[in-house]
Amino acid sequence: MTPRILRSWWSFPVTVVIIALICAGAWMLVQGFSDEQSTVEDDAQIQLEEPPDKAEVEDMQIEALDGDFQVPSVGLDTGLESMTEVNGAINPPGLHNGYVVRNHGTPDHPERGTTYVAIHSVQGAELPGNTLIDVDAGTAAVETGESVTLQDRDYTVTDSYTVSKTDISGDDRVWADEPGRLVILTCLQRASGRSADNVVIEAVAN
Amino acid sequence: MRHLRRRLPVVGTTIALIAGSTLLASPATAAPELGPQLSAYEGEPDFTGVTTNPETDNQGGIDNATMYGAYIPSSGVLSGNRVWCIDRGLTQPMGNGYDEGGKSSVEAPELAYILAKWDEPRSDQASQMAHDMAISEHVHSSEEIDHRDILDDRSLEEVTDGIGWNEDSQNLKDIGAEKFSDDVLPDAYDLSALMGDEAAKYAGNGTYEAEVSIDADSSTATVSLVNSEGVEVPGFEGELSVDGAEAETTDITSGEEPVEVSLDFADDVPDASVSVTFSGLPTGSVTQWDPKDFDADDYDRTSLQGVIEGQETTAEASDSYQGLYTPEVSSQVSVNEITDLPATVTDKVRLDHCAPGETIDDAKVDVYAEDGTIAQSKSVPEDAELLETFTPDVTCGEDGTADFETEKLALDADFVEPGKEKSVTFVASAPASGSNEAFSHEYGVPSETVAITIPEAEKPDDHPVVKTGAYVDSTDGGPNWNLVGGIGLLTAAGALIIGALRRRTTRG
Repeated sequence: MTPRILRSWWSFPVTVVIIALICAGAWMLVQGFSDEQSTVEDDAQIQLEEPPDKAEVEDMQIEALDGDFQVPSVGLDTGLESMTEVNGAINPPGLHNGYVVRNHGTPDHPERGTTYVAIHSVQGAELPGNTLIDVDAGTAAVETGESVTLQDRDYTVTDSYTVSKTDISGDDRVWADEPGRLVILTCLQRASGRSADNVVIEAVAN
Repeated sequence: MRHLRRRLPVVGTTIALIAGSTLLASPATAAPELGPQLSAYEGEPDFTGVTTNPETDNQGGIDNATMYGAYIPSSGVLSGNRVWCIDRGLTQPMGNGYDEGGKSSVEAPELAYILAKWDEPRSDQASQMAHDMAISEHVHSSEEIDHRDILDDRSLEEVTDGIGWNEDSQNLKDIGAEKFSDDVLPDAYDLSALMGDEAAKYAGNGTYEAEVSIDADSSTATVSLVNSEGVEVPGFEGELSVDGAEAETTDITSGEEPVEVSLDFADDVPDASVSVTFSGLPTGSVTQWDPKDFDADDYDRTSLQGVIEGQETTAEASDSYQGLYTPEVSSQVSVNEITDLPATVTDKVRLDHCAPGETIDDAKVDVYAEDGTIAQSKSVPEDAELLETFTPDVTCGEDGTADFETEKLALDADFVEPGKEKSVTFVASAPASGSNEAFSHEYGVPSETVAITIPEAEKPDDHPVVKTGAYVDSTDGGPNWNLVGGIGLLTAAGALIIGALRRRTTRG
C-alpha cells in the first residue's frame, strides 16, 4: 500500500506542475509570438536588404508626386514619389510609397514609353508592396486584366512574372520602352531568407 | 470760223479793213473818242452815221475811215471795255450809244476762245497791230454773230486802193507803208491762222474744267485745264493755293500737258490740300451790244454798228491728300528659350509711327511653329504650322505709338519631345485701316521667336537591378523573453512528463 501511495503521491503535483509549465509556456509563447508580430509594425525594425547610403539617397533626388498608386484588386492604395536610379540600382529609400523611376522609360510622357514604378515588399511584415505578391505561390498577387491607377492614368494588367534579381537587368522583357506601358517592380519574398527574385507586373494604359 | 489763209482773196479785204481799223481805231488809238463820231451824234436824230464806206456815205474824214476793229469806249455802259465792231461798213457810235437793253449773249465757243486768249491791251506797234487785225478778222467772219455788213468782201487790192485805210493815216505814217505791207499784214495773216487753229483745237463746246491732283509719291501737284473733250488747253493763267505744303510756285500757266508743281510737304505724313483757279477763261459765248433803238421804226440808227466783247470766267479745282502712316513693328516675346514644358509665352508688340488716336482695325498676331530652328523670312513658309491667332484691340496713342501684349500661348508638356527642338514665332500684322497703312512683321524675327528644346533625361547605359526587398530586423528589439521563456517552460514540462513516464515504467 505504501509504495503504491508513494508511487501516486508525487504524480499529482508533478501533473500540476507539468500543466502549469505547459500553460505558462504556452502563454509566454503566445506572448512571444505576439511581441514578435508587434515589432514588425514598427518601420524602425524593418531593414532594407541593401540600404542605400546617404549620398545615394541624395542622388536619387526624391520628390513627392501628386496622385496615388492604386491596385484595387489587392487593396493597394499608397502614395507616390519619384526617384532616380543611382549606381545601377533601383533601390527606393522608403517602405510605403511607390517610386516612379525618373531615368528609365519616359515617365514625363507616359503615352510615349514605359513608366517604371518600384515598391518595397518586406519579409515578415505586411506593408503596401506585399499586397502585390503571393509569397506562398511565389508569384504576383495581381491577375491579368485587373486595373492599376497611377496618378491620373488608368492601366490594365497584361502580364506578371518573376525574374531572378541577378538577371533582371538583362531581361529585355522588363526594359522594353513601349508607349503607354507601365511596369511595377517589387521583390518576391520568401518564407525565410532574403528575397531572390523580383516580381514584374506589366500593364498598359487604357 | 473761217480763216484768212483759206479764203485769201476775201480775207484780203477784211485784213485791209482791219488794218484801217487798227490804224485808226485800235484800242490804243480809239480812246479818246474823237473826230467825226462826236459830230455824228450832233446830227441826231437825222444822223445816219458816218463812214468811209463810199457805198453808204462819205461823211467824216478819211482818218476815221473805218470803225472796223477794236476800240475802248470812254462813256456809257461799255466805258473802259475793249469791244469789237461786228458790222462791216456801219459806223461805230459813241460809247453811250449802248445800254443794257441792247445786250445779249451769243454762243460762239471759238470766237469766245480767241477773245479770251488773244484780246488784250496793246500798243500800236506793228506786231501788236497785227493781233488786233487778226482778232477782228475772226470777229467779222464769225458765223455765230448776226452781222449787218453793208460792205462786201473785197480783194486786198481793192481795199488798199480804196477805202478802209489810207496812206494819210497817221498810224500808217508812223509805221510806214512798206513795213505795214511787209510785216503787219503777214503777221496778221499768220496770227489769224494761229488763232483759228487754236480755237478749233481747244474751244470744244466752250466749257472748261480745271483739274488738280496731289501725287504724294512724287511730291507734286499736277494741274490741268481741259475743254469739253478732255483736251488740255494751254496758255491760261492759274493760281495755286496750297495748305500743308510749300509749292514750288503758285503761279502757273496751263500747258498742252498737265503742269507739275513740286510740293514740299510740311509733315512727314502729309496732310495737304491744293486748289487751283484759272481766271480769264472764255465762257463759250460773247456779249453782243446792239446800239440803242437798234430796230426802232421811228429812229434810224440802223447805220450804227453793233459790238461784241468777250466774256470771262474762272475754273477751280482742288484736291487734298492725307498721307498714310506706316506703322513700324517691333516686338519681344516673354522668353526666347524654353527648356521645360509645359510653359506659357506672350509677345509684347510695339507700333511706332501709327496714326495718332486711330484704331487699328483687325490687328492680329499669328503664332507659327516649326520643327528645329526658324529662319527669318518675309513670308510664312508653307510648312509652318499655325498654332494660334490672337486678335488684340489696338489703338494708336496720341504720340503715334501703341503697345499691346498677346494673351498667353500655352505650350503643353508634349509640345516638344525630349531631345528634339521646335520653334515658335509670333507675327504681328494688320491690314490698312484709316490713315494707317497695312503692316506685317516678318516671319521668324529673332525677338519674336522662341526656341523650345527639352533635354532628354540622362539614362544609364545599362539596365539596373531592382532592390525592393526588406526584412524585419528582430535583433533590434533584444531577446524575446516571452518566446524564450515559453519555449523553456514547455521544454521543462516536456522533461517532467518524460521523467515521470520513465519512473513509472521503472517501478512497474
